[in-house]
Amino acid sequence: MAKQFNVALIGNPNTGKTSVFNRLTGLNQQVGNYPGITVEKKQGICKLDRGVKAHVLDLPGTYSLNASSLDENVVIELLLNKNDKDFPDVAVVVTDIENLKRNLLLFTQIKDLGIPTILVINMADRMKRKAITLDVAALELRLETKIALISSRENRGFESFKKAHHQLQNPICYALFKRFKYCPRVF
Amino acid sequence: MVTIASLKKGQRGIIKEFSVDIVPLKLLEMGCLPGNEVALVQTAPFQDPMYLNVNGAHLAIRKETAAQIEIEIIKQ
Repeated sequence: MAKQFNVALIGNPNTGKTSVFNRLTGLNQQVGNYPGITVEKKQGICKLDRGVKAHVLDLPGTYSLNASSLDENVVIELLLNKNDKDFPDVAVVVTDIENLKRNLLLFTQIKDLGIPTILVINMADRMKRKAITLDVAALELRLETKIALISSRENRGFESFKKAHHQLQNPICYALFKRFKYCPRVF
Repeated sequence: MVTIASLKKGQRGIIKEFSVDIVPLKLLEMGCLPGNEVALVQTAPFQDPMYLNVNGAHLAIRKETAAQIEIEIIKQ
């Protein structure tokens, strides 16, 4: 019997979340090479490994969980309300390889919420041209998160992405901010 | 004071401490923090807006905003 769960695509504006969404769901949502294209939640269905049917939610881009506009608010309202029917079982943070540092702010905030998280690094096709190399294994250890390096333009990396979901079946989620280490009295 | 607005094309600087009241939160979220490197890539005519490379990411800001952020210029 197929189980289903909610997957939310979160990330900075213009990282390719909607392109990833289109690849996963086979739908054809509007994309554009400028931020501010997706302004509300879009939904679709994707089959992951071993009969798991996922409800994929494409969200507007945001730089952090401090919302400064209506479309960024869509993301925050979803993530702070555990009772929302769309509340994600898995949060997929989509980042782009060229701006990885900046993108990781939001990633750490999502991870600290305690939701099982996968980090997707998109635009892998740009790595060769920009002479960027990345030690994925080391980054996975440092961030304590599964990473999928993909290129939605070339449709590569999606198999490892789907596999990463499966490894999250019974996750133990550690927030990146080690509460007890920094301030045991307060936390 | 030496600010981002004082940068010449191609020059780099390290951002010094600043009051969070003056700088928009969004800039902080995009990496405009003390200790990070900022370089002037290009400016529009009349030097406004300024196209910068802040900590690896490209963004453009008004000269007025750039003048609020103090930096220490890196000598080439």
